[in-house]
Amino acid sequence: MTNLSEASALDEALDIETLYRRHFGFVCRSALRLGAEPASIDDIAQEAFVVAARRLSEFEGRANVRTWLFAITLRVVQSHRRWLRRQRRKQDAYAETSTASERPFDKADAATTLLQLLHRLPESHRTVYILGELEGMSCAEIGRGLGLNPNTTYSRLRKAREQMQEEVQRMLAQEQVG
Amino acid sequence: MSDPARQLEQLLAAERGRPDPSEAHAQRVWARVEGRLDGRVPAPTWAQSSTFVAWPWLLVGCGVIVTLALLGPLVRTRIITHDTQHKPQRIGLADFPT
Repeated sequence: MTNLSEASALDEALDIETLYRRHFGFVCRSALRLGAEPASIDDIAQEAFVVAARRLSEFEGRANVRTWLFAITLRVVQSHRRWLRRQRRKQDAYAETSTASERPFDKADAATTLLQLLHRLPESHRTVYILGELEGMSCAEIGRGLGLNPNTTYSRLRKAREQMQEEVQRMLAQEQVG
Repeated sequence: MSDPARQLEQLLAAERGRPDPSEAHAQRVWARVEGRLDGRVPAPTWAQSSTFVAWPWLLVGCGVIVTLALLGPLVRTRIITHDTQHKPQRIGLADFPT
């Protein structure tokens, strides 16, 4: 996967196929980290690239193309989640109380555990944490891409890090009790 | 590094090392993206549906307007008839100077 900071984001954004080839993995990973169900990842990635293709002319190259794609993926995931919630309410199949924050940890593997921890963060903190901690982006880059003030970005990242530490502590405490 | 911090770092490292989807997987989804852009492939159901359902709000809005329209004159009449300072009086021809 090519690092976009090496290439001109504007040149790259002109071609949706190149954009797709370089960032399909990133969009899939991001959707998963944002809480999308694994079975819906393909549909979400498809929708995100369709939206990106239609909005290519709006991309001005001020932000990193990855943060731009991330912002699109975030909106698509939110839209999908709203639809799922409506469907579940209609079918009455899922109780509203079964939120991720109340689920016990599944220690299937480390990556799954991390996803469970991520889902306990508020969405505004989670998005910044994913880009900063997992994708290695700077606060300035994240802020430009998500339309946030750099100080707000930094503050959210700091709070997210603290909360993740607390969640890990809680998880370890649960393991010791169990 | 404390134990929770080390544990978190291990979890992050595992997630950072998540493998990319296979080339075949990427090709399969790309075919659908192309199809969507050409109009050959329909959007998934959840992407087609509108996120905002307008008709219940329109119904409520119309109800409020009709209620206000009906109650408005009634309320105004009551205020006038119960206003002791400006009690409506019968006015006959005798009240007008000829």
